[in-house]
Amino acid sequence: MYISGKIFTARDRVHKRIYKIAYDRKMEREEAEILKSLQNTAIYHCGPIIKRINGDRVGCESKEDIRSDFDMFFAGNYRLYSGGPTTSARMEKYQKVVCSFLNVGIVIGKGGMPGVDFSEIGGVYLAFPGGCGAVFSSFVKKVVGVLWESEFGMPEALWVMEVEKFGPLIVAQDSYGGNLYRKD
Amino acid sequence: MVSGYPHKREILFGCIVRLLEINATSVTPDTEKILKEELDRESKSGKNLATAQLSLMLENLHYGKEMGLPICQDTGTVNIFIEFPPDFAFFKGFVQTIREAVKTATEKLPLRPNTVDPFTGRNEGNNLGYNAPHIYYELNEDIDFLRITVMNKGGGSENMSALFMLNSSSDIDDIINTVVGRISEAGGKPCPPVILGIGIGGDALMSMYLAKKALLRPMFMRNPRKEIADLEERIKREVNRNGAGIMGLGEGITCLDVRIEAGMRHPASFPVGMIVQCYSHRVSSALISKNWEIKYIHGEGGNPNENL
Repeated sequence: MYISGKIFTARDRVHKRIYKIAYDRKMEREEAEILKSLQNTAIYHCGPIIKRINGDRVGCESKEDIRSDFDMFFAGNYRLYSGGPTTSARMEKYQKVVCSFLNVGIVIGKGGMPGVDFSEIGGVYLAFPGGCGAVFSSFVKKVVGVLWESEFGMPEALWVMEVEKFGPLIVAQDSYGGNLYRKD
Repeated sequence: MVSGYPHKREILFGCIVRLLEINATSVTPDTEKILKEELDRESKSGKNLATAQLSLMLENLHYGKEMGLPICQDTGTVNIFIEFPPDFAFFKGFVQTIREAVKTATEKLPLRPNTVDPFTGRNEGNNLGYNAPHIYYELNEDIDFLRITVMNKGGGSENMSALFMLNSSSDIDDIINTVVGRISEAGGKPCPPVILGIGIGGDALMSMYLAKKALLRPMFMRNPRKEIADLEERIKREVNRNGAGIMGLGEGITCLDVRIEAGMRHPASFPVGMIVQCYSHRVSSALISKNWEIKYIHGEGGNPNENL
């Protein structure tokens, strides 16, 4: 299948952070707004290569700077150079809570999530072949912005983007217990 | 004889950037060739999952090369292997030049910034940092040029690597079972089809080093020692029998090649080191003559007896 619309990248650090937020409910107002806007989109396990087209690329600020800087979500002009999927299994222990907190049922990645029951999430796991980063860039219409880049760095930040006909994606795990990774 | 450091520095700098550029945008030619052969085979057998994925993977390789884009967003950890003849004239600033080249390549190609401090979690942003990039040196008395080999090694596959300190009375079957068991557990995580670099013997460090060096060999080049070559073939067959398949989805080849290097072991030890490489095998070399002329080789380290 193919996907068009808004998706966002989330890997180890984003999952861990949202998992924490889901429990302690502590977040900045801006963070809450951004996270709310991600409802009914899709999570893409990916650490992309993206550069700002105008202005300097934001490197990692010192820890003192981070909290005082309310411009956490940088909207701007970006170019995505490469964005294939990362190994989803690393996010297993956070996935259900993150999906439920954000109200997102589509998870795209590679390698599968054997420890996640997608019928509990009421969603699907879509597989895209690892390493297909260049061709992914041809599906990206626009990179809308980024959250937590100065804290997590480029690969680990939450990048929001709009894609068109992203695929072919293989429905590898579904909410009826189907699982292509299992050898039955 | 070319004199003066600035000239050598420029050449070295340009060389490292170029090798990283080749690696970011393409796999080795022999890897691409075997993927095409697998696609031909699978499309005739009617295996849709394997065919669809291989098709997309090859389309990606083509697109990346055409557009000069990083084929995989994980441009990996930069591994640099330097082989030098006994009389090669290094110069002060040799390593600093390499580091500057890695930083420039990161900005320009671009490479993904992949060096993270293990304690603070801070990403340095430029693929540098302490003990980065990884540079390994070996004296080779059989060459009269400098050989620089760069491998961009992805993290996902690297995570499936392992060191096994087997029982000293282990035999071939134990080695096979250990390796096959590990790859089986790994499933789709290392982006199969994989290439396995295996170091047998040595000690804990040497076996892992041998395993990584083994990956630099060309596709299907067997170890010159017959029993090792046989073991390479056997392990490959065993991994592919009931293997996880392409991306772990159950169809297609799991392991493209197995490369083993060996070393003497302590009587009480039997180390087996394994480094797992994904199908996005990115290696290239430069041979630099005494006059500082460069020849680029896409693929492995090249024939040690090659003349420039």
